[in-house]
Amino acid sequence: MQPRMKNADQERFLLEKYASDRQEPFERFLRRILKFLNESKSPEKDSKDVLTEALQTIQSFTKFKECTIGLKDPDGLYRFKAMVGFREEAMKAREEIAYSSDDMNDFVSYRPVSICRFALFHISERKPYKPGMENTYNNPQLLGIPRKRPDDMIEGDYLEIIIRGKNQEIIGWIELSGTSDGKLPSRDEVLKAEFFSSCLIPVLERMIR
Amino acid sequence: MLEKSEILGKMLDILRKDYRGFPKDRDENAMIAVASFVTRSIDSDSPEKIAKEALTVIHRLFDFQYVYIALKDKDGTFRYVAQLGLPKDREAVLFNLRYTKEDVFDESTYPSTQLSDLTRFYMSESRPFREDEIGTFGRPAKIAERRLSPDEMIEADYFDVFITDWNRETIGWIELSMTRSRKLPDRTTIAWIELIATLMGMIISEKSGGE
Repeated sequence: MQPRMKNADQERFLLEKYASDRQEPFERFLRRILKFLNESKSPEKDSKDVLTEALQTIQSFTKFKECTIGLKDPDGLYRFKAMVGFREEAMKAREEIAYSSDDMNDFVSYRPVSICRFALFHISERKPYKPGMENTYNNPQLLGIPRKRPDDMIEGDYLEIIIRGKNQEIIGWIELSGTSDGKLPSRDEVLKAEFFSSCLIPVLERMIR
Repeated sequence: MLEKSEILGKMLDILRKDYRGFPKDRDENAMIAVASFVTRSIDSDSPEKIAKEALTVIHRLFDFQYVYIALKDKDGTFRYVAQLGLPKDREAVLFNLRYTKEDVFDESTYPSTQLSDLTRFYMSESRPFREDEIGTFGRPAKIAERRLSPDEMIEADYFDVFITDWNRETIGWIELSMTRSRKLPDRTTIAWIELIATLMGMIISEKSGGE
């Protein structure tokens, strides 16, 4: 048997190639998800901390300023659980909302546009909210102001990603709105947000069971 | 100046067209494949089936010729439960191997270079294997071949990406060897495998009691 000798030059090459800080662009996105998943295992964190970090993770790779996540509760109703980028009153108004399973599966009333596998785009002109829910927005006074250009993202527009767990049951959803440049999100951002929502499934399944 | 209805019509065109279409590169392909892997695994009743699903995704998306997955057994030892690349007649050699946790991290037998929290590289020059493992390499006769450039991947080089549970305890690993291009994989590939391993660990350990 030959001796087990490490090749020092090769080891230096490997560390420089894989362990240095020079991350490839898409790798940075994957490493951000890995960091989130690893930290979600921490016993010191409660579910609200974890969900807030999930939303901050989405903010890190998209231009969405307003992000919310909701989950199915033991009583079978769906409620918002964490929000970032919202004014206090809007958060309070959202906390009071409870959706039934029928509401969650109602893809007709608000007429969203299905843009990807799990992502729906709600258009402000179609008033994607029930009467009285205007105060769930950051700037309700801007609802109804006409869109100037087709690629504008205006108050009342939002992207919704439905999250399905075991047996295809809806276990939660994410709403994203208010882009930093006032424009629609790019394809890359939507695909990444959709993918991240799939990575959340094991975390959310553990939270709700 | 566009009319209100024209603006909305053009916006609907953007929404219906711009976000769809075929994946434009490997990473878009991988996002779809890994998302489907999570959806299928969450409904699966067996860790072995989940391991086989992961193998198929990795083998299809990335450049590795040999992909093996080992998982912790009920008796606390580790054994390979799934592989792609090795001929069937040598599969039994792989599946009969058993390791304790001490074996797995024994640097005197398996000298390694730690690349991240989850990934180690085992360099052919340091002969990171036991005699009874030689048959698990794709081409054992090539094991002593010299590396011609540092970026070359040669026989008996391999990566182990560790699978951990919710308590961050090791419950298995994904082993990757010999790329079709004979080059070391890029960093993004390793990050992808780490993500698959992490998701696998969360799903498998939740099913086996939530640890």
